[in-house]
Amino acid sequence: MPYIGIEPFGQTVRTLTTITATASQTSFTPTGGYTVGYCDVFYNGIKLVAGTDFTATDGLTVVLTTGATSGAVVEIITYGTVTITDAVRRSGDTFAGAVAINSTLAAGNTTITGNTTTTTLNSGNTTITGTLAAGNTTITGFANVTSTIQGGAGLIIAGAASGITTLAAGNTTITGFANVSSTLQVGANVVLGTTTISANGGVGTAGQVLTSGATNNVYWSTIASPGPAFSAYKTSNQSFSSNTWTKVTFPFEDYDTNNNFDSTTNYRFTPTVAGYYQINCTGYFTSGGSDNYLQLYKNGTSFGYYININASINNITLTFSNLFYMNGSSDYLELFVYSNAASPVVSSSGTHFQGFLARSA
Amino acid sequence: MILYEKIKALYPELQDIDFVFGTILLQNDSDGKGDYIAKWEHPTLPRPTDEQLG
Repeated sequence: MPYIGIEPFGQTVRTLTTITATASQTSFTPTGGYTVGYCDVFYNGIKLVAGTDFTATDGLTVVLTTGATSGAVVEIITYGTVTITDAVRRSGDTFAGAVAINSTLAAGNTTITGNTTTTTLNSGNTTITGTLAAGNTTITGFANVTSTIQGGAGLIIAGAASGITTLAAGNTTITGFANVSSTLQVGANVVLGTTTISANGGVGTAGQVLTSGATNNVYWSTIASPGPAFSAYKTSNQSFSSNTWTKVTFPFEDYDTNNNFDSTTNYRFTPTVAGYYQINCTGYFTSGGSDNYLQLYKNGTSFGYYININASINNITLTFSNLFYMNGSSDYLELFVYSNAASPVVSSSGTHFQGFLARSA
Repeated sequence: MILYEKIKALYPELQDIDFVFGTILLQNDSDGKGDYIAKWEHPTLPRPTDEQLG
């Protein structure tokens, strides 16, 4: 009798042997012998006392102390143990063939090594090393499927699915953590709610995009735009001292996308995004000397980016463009002019200070 | 008289080249504080005192 569950300990097989005695007969043989200690003897319906009225010590014969009367009825009852074959114990045994479960399989820390067809698999830390062919199946525990999950109309994996080689699922919902070690093939749309996507290098930050790398992997990267861009200008001429490097004031802005240009106090551009900035500078000298300069200062000092003209003429326009790295926090740029004219003037028209993020760091 | 003119009056031998990218840097940060000596590294002429420039 196959079974699953508690072992039927204590159950026995009862055998009755009835013998009609001959005159003075003392030895009787019960059918199938007996187990010593598991033998009851009745003489004409009266139970005899073991060790006094009879002895039963060899497992084969029962010997009466006093010979029987002819025609007396001797009944011998023996008890044997039950032997169960083709059974599966609750631990250590294996189902040798296919098992079809048509309702709910509630399994905690279960290993299924064959192909399994089920409706509902409520599993806690379940390992399926074969194929889980599930139609309208809910996996609520930890499903570690090393081969294939073939989902039918509605396969729901609510726990953490790890090590899935192939998830061939129709209308499948994965609400837990799906660790797909190979290829995830999505035949239709991927709809993401408040989902965190972790790629190589970790989770992206605000404004980043997924980008393919040289080795066909995918990682989060920061795109160049939208980044800071500004354009500042003047509305009045600015006179400055001869032979004195003087900061050009820019009290007005065409645009300043990130509020990174200070047009009220310091007239400087302090970008808040680290990267490489294209800077365009134009200075229009209405009164120039023989030596006229337009120079960019970084963090309050000259760093070698300027343009000059050595000509004693008025109405000179100096302009230059360059690409500069800015750290996105403390670095700032200012525009300075210089002329050895007696009374140099940089004009409101034709004097501009512009820049934008060309590439993020 | 601007700062440059005061310095030239003190040291007439100075040339314009000394003020462009030379040993003397006069600067104005357009912050209302006026011109000032940002650098003075002339090899022979001492930095003018405030009294001299006053």
